[in-house]
Amino acid sequence: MTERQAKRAVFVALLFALFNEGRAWAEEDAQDTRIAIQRRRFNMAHELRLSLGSMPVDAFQKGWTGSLSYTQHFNNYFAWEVVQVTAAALVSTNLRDNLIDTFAVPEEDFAAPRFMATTGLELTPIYGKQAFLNDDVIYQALIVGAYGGVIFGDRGGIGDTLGDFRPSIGGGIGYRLYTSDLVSFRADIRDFLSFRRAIQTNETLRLENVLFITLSVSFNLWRDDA
Amino acid sequence: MKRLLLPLTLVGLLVPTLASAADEDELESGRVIAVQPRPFHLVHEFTVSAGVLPLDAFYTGFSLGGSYTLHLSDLIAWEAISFHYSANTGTGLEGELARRWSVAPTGDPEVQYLVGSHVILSPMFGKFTLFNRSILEGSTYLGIGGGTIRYSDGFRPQLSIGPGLRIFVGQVVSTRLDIRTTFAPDIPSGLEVVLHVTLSVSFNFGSVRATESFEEEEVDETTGFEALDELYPLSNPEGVRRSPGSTSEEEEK
Repeated sequence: MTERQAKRAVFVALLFALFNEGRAWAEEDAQDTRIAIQRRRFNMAHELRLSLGSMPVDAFQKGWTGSLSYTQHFNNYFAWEVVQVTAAALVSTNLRDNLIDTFAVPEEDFAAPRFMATTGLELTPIYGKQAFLNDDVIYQALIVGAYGGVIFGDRGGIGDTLGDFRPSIGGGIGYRLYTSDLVSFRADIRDFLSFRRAIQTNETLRLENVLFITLSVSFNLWRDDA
Repeated sequence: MKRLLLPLTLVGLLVPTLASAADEDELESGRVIAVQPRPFHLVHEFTVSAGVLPLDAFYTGFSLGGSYTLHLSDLIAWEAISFHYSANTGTGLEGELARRWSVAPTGDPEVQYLVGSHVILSPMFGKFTLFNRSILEGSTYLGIGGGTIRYSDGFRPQLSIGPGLRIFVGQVVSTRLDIRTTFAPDIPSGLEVVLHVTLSVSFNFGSVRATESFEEEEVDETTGFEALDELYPLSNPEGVRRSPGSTSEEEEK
């Protein structure tokens, strides 16, 4: 068997495996398999969330963030993150230090995201429980969301910073770990496209990518079943 | 509002503790937790991956790769070898530096490929509902390992750690999401952190793990009446065949 034939055989074997798995699922559906799904142990209502996070992508300044958000859950699947406000403490990278020290670039030229205010719609398609070391049961959910809002670039003074507002849209994925009816923990990764205007003469209008990673503690308040 | 926030946080953190204490009471009174056996048995896993290395300021890497994992038990597996090639595209930073400040950076070394070996710990296995319509089975795991990264200016050692999520499609096929943070020392300038996010399809082959012994299935040839025969040996002595209509006494005569 030549190398090419061997590669083709492996490819066909993988396709066959995928096809077989798909067919097994289809057959299960065709047989109208009945499945029992338990009622959810945890139901969200009004979610107040405190987050710590990072904006790690900016080349000149990395942001360490603190956020506060409020989310209203309509049912098990849909929720509206009414508002999330974020403030970032910016840490200079070696590249920025070099530009300032060696090339006398003004500090205000970089303008990494300093504040952020967003709103968004969230969908929780996946909810489940896992056995931890076959001993404890852990409840969790997977969240996807679409978000929009404004990002404010750091321009030194608060007035200049609020003047550098950048409309932004983005998407994200989140993972929630329930610890009780009241408290849950979340990890979120969101990516925003930010429309950055030309504020200074050496700037141009451009799309900027803002990656936003957070770890949160959520408080589930005013539940109907409380 | 600030005054309210602290008590609220404390109450929130305290209540779960009370809840778990209540759970312990329930346990003491004999609550039973049923954990089903795992329906899928991974042995030899071959994985094909596509991913992204998003963190570098000058380029974004799009990776293609694969790995082989030997599963030793439900809890522990050895990802014996993984290889990921990275095709890199510029972020536009070089152009920005040139345009705004007339600065040309000295060539920043780029990741070309990563080779590694990891221990995979899968402490969590469970079921998820997808829109309450179907059930997905999945596991959450942690990969810890190391290897080497080939940069455009040479090789560097690497250590990496990160979580992963596996959703089973069936006994053979499963899908994986891995988020691994890799630390590569760049002597003497510092430590390079490489975030590598991959989506994978895995193919599982084999049924018996290296740590399990192959046991032949024993065929049960007993009739279930052996105990009865022992108690009443004369009820049907061996070799005596009864003709239809005859009694046992006639047979004895």
